[in-house]
Amino acid sequence: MFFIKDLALNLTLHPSYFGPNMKQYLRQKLLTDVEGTCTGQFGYIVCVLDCMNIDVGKGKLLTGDTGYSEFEVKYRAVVWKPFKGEVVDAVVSSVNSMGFFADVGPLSVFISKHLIPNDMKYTPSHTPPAYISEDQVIMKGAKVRIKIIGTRADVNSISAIGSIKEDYLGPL
Amino acid sequence: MSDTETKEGKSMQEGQDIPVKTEDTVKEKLEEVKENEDPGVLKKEPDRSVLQEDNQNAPKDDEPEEKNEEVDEGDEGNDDAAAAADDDDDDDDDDDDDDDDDDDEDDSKNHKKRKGNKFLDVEAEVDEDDEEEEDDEEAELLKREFLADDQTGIDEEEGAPTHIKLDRSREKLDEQDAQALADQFKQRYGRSGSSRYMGSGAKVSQRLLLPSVEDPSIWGVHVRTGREKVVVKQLYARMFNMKGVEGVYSAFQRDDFVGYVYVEARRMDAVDRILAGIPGIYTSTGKVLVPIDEYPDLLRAAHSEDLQLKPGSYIRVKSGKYKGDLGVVDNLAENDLEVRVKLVPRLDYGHGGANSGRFGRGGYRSGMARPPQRPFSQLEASQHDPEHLTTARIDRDYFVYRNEEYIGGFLFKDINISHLVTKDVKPALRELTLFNGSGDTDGIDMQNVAKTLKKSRDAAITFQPNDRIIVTSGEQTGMHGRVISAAQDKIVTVVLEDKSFAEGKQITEEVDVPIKALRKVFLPGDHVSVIHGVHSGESGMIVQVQDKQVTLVSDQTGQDVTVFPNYLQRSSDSAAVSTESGGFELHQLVRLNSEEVGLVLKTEIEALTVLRTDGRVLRVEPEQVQSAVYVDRMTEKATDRAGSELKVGDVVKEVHGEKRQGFVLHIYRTWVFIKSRTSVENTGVFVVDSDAVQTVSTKGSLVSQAFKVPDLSKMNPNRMDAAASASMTASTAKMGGRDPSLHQYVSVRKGPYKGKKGIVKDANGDVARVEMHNPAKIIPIQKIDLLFEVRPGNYIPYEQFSESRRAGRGGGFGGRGGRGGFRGESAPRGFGGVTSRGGARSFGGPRGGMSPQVGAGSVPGFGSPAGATSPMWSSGGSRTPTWTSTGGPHGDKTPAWGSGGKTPSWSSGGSRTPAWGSGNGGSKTPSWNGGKTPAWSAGSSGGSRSAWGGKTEYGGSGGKTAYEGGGRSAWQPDENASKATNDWGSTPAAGDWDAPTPAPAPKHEDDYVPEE
Repeated sequence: MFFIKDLALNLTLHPSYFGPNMKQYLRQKLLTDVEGTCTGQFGYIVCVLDCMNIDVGKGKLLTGDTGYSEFEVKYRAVVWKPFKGEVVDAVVSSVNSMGFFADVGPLSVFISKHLIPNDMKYTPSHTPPAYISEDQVIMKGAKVRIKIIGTRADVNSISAIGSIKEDYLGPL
Repeated sequence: MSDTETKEGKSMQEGQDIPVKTEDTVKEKLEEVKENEDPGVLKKEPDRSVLQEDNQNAPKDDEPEEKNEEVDEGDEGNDDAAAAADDDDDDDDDDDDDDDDDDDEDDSKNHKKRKGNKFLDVEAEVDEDDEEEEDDEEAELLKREFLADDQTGIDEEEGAPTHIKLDRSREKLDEQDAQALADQFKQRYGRSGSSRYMGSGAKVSQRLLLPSVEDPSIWGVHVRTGREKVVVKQLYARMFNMKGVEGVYSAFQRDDFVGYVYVEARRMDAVDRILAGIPGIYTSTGKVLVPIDEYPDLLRAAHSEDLQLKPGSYIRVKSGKYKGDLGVVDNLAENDLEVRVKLVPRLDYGHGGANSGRFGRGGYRSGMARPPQRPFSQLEASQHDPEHLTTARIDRDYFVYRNEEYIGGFLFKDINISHLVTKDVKPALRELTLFNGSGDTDGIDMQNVAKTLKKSRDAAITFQPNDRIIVTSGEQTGMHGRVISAAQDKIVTVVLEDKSFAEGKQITEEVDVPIKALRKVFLPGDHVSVIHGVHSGESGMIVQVQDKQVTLVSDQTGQDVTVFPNYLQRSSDSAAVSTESGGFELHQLVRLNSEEVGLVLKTEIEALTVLRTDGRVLRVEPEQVQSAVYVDRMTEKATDRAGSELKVGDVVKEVHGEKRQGFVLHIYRTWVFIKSRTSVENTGVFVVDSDAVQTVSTKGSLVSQAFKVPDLSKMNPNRMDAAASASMTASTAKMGGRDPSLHQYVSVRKGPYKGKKGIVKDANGDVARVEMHNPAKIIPIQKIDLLFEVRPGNYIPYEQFSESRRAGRGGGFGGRGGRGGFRGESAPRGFGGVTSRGGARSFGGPRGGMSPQVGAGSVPGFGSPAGATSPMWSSGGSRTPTWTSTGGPHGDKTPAWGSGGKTPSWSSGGSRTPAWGSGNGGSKTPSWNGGKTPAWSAGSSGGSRSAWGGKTEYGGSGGKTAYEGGGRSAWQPDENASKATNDWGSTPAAGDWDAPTPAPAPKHEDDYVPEE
């Protein structure tokens, strides 16, 4: 599910960057640091909004003799977090005898063979290998609709497993 | 009269009943209850009861007598046991028994009477009276009737009234009879009512099952250890076949009581008879009568361990040559007493001389060294000890050697079960490999290992609060619930949720349930870790839940793992998974032997799965791994097919074959271990030669491309630090002579000793050995981390210190020192040019006056940037408005420029001072001045003036002209002309000064222009 979330990031800056373009630099750094990353807590940060109006705030010199300063950059971002029970569309990225992996944007979801309808059989002879039933084929590159049945959030990654063993799920 | 008497008796009894009860022991109560079982029935049907009683009396000749006898024996048994404990005199007992028997037979009636309550004299007396009374009554009745008949006969003449009288008397008699009977019964069994009243039904009913004196006695018979089961078998054989042992009901042995066999019988003589002549019984120590209250303990059902023994289970030998050795059960003998065990032989083939002979007889002594475990070798046996090698069926690899069978290299031996350890046998992997080593099965039978390990770790199953559970047995079977607390060992408190009442009110109930009766419930999608069993340590997400098994996708291997739900535990979502086994981690490089290196693919409890460099996967135990290979990220490099560098983390692709793509996990020599996300085999890890891969993308490349900001490595002074300090070392090293820091008072400004003071005792390069004042010891510390005391209480950093020292000395040979300095500072780069201008400016200004001051070593003044003491600085500041003017805005607006950017490079000119400690500038200056080259000053001033005055750009031309002009003209006339010219003419200086300048300069110009 997508959310717009207010987030903040602490950026540390070397004194050599202190100058008129400092804020510009901080914004740029924020974008490169943050966009496309994943936090277990909020999910994937898809896009930082209003990147021109990012509130950089006042810097604070860090203690010690390094001269570094710290800026708290507040920004709004579109985040995407997968939830248990969410139905999403995905692209199959790899197929093997255990099941198949499907990419939902940045997230890779594993669909175990236990969660594939029984009539879909793994056919390694097919090129590329695929799960095949009478009228459906799931092979690499196929588009499928899956239901996420479990997610696991680590500090900076999310893994999920999905199911197509329900009505209206499966190849599109 | 009987009426009154009985009443009296009754009242008396009742009166005494209560206190007596309180005195009664529980046991007695029980007996009473038992005895009263029949009467309970009797009471309901008094009519039949009479009959029954008669009936009872009739057969009682046998049974009750026995009962009584047994009671006596029971009593006696107690004494007996005590006696036996004191001195085992069976004969006396026997005699006693016989006597008792006789007695019993003699006054069985008495006993019968006593039966009512033999423990209470009072009651017994009452009873006796009662019975006598009863008899008397009956006699009287008969008499009366007789008399009555007589009377009737007599009274007949008297006519009707006598009939009526008779009728009445009869009626009365009947009445009386009934009453008397009722009283009798009441008297006799009245107690039962009260006792029943006393006891609360449920508990008594349980206790009723406890053995009593009525039950046959149990004798414990001492037998030879290990022979128990044999003896029991023999006893049973005799029970069925022998005559005269009918009194023996059963015989049994307990595993917990080694060396005893128990015989259940009424009579001791029967026991003696059945035991007679059975070998292995210690008749001398005699029999022990087990006290009745110990029956339950004796007979408590313990888990029999022998039942667990199956072909294939692991055992250990308790004694003999193979003591402690692991064995595999090959077969169980029919009698369940002997086990055919497969062992790894310990043979010396006669090398041990006498020893081996003794071994052969099984007479292994503990002090003797035993031969190592080795498979049986026919060759050795036939070479060294052929006379003992009797049979040989080579085709089956079957030999008999010293009367023992060897099949397939293993010893097959029948061992008594009591000589085996069957419980909690944990085979070490090393031992298992011995068994598998010569077998045809490749690798270790992990299933079996797991089975054994499982047994020993059954206790590991734990329930935690909030675990969802279902009750699998007991009253609440099928109920779902949630664990609330698991405070006790084997019992957890759960809240049961009745699903049938789901809508609205949910009936919840807290109950304690033993964990045996619980099964954990999981849902697909739960993230769990396996806490038990073969897969212990793995974690994953559940994909399927069947009734009693759960399938999960392992995080480690990506494979399906099916386990029992109770072996699982919900793991918090971000739980770090244990990926360690025996000190080795997942995806770690390990050294298998001097040549072989492998990558850990999977870690299990006692096994590692390793991918070798040749691509083979093998399973080893952690002990077999020599060591971990510690590889430095810096050295872990190779070149790919195209010759470009390959580092850990790079994404590469195979050029041949499957063209698998993945990222580099490790590089060992030319082997590259790659983890692919798409392949399943070996959890996606494969190994290829570095020549066979092509770099797709390098690690870090993304970042550097994305960064469109100035390259930090050029701009960031941190990066230059290393070079600068190196150059400094070079410069100081060039200085030669006595190290200036020697014997200086210093204060540490960094590190663990920060703030401490001491004296430099020795100095070597960058490191000074400082004798601390407190603690009094000598510690090597980087000079950079020291502050030097120039005056009491006034400390300067090392950079300034060294500069000042050099400057102080430089007064003499200034030019050289200065030059050395300059050259050493490899890179007065971009900003250097700019700074130089500043410097030039200041030189230009105070030209005349400055040099002597600086030459005099006014450097300290710079160190304390008060500026007052540094005439040059102040003069520079005051006299060169251009500088000030430029410096000012710079300082304000661009700190980076003002201090960070420019100074270092300048200071690099001077040495690495970070700040305007450009005292360096100053300190350097003297050397220039020391050169005393007017040309220089002229040139510089001129150049700088032109540069600044003209307000041309900072960088290039101004600086350049200034220096080039100045430099050349200045140095040529210098005294050490040739060298100097070389240096300056070829001008690394000049080159340096301007070459890099243009690059950054424009940028800064851009920055500056608007400001100016």
